[in-house]
Amino acid sequence: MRMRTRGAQRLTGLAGIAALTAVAITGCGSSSSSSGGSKSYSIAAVVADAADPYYVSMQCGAEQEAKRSGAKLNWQGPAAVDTAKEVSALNTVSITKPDGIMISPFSPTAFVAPVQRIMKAGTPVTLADGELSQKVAYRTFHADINAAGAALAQRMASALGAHGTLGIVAQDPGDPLDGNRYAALIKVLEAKYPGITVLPVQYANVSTARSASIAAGLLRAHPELNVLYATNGPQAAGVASAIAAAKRQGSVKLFAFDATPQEVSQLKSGAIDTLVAQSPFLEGQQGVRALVSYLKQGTSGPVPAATEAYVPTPFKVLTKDNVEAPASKPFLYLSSCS
Amino acid sequence: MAEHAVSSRPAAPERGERRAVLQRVAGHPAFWIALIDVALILIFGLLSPNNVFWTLGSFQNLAVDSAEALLLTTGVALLLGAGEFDISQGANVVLSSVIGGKVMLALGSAGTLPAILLGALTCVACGAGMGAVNGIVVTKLGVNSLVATLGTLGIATGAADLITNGSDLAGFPLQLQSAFGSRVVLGVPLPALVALALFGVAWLVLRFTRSGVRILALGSSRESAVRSGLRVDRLLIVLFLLTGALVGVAGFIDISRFGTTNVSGHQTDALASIGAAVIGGASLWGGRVPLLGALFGALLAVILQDGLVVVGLSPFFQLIATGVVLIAAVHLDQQRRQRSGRPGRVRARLRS
Amino acid sequence: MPTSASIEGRDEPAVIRARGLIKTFGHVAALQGVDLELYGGEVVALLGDNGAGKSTLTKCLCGVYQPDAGELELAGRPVQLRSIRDAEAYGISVVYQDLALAPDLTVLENIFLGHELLRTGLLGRAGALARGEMAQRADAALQALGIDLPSVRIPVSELSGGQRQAVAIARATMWTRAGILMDEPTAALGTRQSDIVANLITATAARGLGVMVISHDLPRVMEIATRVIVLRHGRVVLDTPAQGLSRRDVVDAMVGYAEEVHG
Repeated sequence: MRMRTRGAQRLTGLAGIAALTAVAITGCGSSSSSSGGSKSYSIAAVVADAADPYYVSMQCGAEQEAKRSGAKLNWQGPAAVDTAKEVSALNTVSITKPDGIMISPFSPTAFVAPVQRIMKAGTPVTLADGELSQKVAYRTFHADINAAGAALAQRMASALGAHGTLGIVAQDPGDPLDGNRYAALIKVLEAKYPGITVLPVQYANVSTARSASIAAGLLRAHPELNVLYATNGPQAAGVASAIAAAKRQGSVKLFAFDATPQEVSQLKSGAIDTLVAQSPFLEGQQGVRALVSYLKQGTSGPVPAATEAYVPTPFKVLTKDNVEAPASKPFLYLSSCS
Repeated sequence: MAEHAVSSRPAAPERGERRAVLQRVAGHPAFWIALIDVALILIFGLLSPNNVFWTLGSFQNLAVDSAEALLLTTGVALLLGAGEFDISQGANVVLSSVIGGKVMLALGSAGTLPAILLGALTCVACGAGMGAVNGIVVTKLGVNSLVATLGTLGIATGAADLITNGSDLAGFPLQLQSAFGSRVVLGVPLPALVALALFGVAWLVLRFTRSGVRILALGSSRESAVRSGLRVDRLLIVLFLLTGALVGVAGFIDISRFGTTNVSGHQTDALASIGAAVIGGASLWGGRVPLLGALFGALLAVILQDGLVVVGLSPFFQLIATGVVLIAAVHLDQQRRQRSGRPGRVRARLRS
Repeated sequence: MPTSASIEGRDEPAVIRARGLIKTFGHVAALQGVDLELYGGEVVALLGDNGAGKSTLTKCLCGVYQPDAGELELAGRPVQLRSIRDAEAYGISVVYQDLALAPDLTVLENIFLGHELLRTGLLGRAGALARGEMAQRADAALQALGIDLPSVRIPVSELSGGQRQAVAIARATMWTRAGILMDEPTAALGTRQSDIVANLITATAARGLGVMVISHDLPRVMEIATRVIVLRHGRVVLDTPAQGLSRRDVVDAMVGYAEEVHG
């Protein structure tokens, strides 16, 4: 008797959950049904961190392009950076046999095998941002990070009058993506602008608080310091607060990589002097465009991999003067598409 | 095993017996979670384009995605049974895979097979070692396991970052993936087979052996275990060590599936596995762990994850849905406990 | 000094024999030279007011405390107990007030915890339990004590308080060769359940074990005791056969009148 009531109780409870889940799924599912058309391609995208503004901007570019070409887009990615979950998502997405897949790979190696497998089965794969250790994708789109570093060096030299001392707040000593964000800058400064001294690189691991304390230390130890460079948004926010706390806004300029909403507002307010940004929007747009144009050729069989390492997408040096310009818009990272 | 062979009372009539079996099945937490799993597979299958969620490839994908989660959930379920927690699992996966990966890379010149085998062994040994450290801190230093493993979570994460400088190891032999990570045997992905086999061993141990009874005794009443003369410290250290070894196996599966370590990942693994065990009916207060329930609990999260991708919904829904199921499962379990009269083990229900 | 009643005329050595046990905690002299014996087959009621030293004495007898001075003999052999496990090795076990059963484990698993029977052969080496054999032995032991449970396969949490107490006592009798110390075995029970436990204690003693019961339930413990020992201020003030002893005598001894009368 007792057992039966217990079971019944469980059943009603769990039925409730099942119903709720089903409602959530079907309710949302119906809204995402595609508009009809002549030939609608289904395209899946898997990014490294679905919640990051960088990838949100990429999604906006991809969505816009998908809409334009009448394709249906399934956007996926873990809620926080996690290679295993991202590869799992790619494998799962490939089960639905989409016509094309775009990936923003977080690991240069983990995606090689699945991409090879998918391409062999006749589904084109493009990469937006990031690169794999082997040339196995149909096309790869990202900015020329070395060129961006060189442009940054030039802007820095002109802003400082080619004389000064630079402190760098980077992410992690071993991170190759982050390393690219300052390696070219240092190289160009040393070669072309010997008047600018570069202090040893400091690491803050994307922590705003740690960036602030590192920057405060640098400012105290090096009174001659007149420019700081942060390799991403959270670090830039920390460095900016340290400069403000030391009341050195006038004498120290802050440069930073990326163009997160926070960074852009600080650029407008003057806390940041210069940003250098890639365009995830254009990367997403071109990733989808390349897929659709391949599909329109109607070729079947294994998809040939690209011979070139990547197709460069534009980057932009943003200052207070040009940030509002329409041409800058694709370079500002978005927290939502509308 | 003759489960019903002897009783203090004469055997019940057959019809009653059959109903009792039905009641037992329906009363088992695993049954309800399995039902939800099946329901979700049905729903996702219906909603997926061309019902692809019901294809062999899809089930293989589910299986291989469940492998690591199943190992971690099995480990944490055993610990919960003994009244202990382990929130360092994810960090231990990362550290094991990093150290095992380093060994594999260092031995690369000595031949592929020895490198892979020794790498695997190192992963498992490292996981077991971390587990033993947890066990020693809990028993010998007398630190509550939640706090102890919070500490080792930090230590393992820091150690992995130190070893790798925060960037992933790569360049493992390709055979690692082809011979193990992405190998399919008789239609089942090899990592899933390994995980399932280890789960089976854990299930047998818990259900049929002296060690199983003693593990549950530790969690049900530590005092009674002590007074029964069990060597509590030794038991706990061995248990932590073995569940750590399961985590080490997960670490090896991680590098052999993806051909790279995953230093920045696995941050929510431990909480996910505790959640799965609890969804499956494990008590947070120890003494009660339906391992089959834990199995279906682990599957639930993976089904939601893969299913939502297949029907093209945002991955964020998976977190929400798992959270809802977790809370509901625990709520229902507590109601059940209250009816059976032992929320705090004080109220003794008189049988008339 | 009180006189020991039933020492003479015994062939077998006492299950427990204590001589001059002294235990102090700081300035508190909990035991000030306690002499007592417990023989197989008898039920000794250990009585005394709060703070008389009952609990300290019990803990000294089962190895939880080590006495500061005095001798302890178990089955005629002088011993020094360092733990409960030591005491169990000598055949003495304790049934605690809070029972110390694992509520999630079955009756069977509780009774055999720490004494599990394994199957023969390879499975046994792997630690596989011989549940069938365990159940037979548990059933036999329960039946011998007249304990009626719905099944030995249900969790202890589903038993009533009296049934749990019965399981705890059955467990102790199964693994004890000599003596059982029971701390307030009826404290948490209703009348009917207390009766069951009282019968059980008598049945246990009838099997030849020495039983020492600490209880506040004076009327009931007087019913089943064969001998009564009263502690007061850490000394034995009364040690006499229960036969013919009135409740009044016992209370007098507990509160101190007896010393004047007998002393």
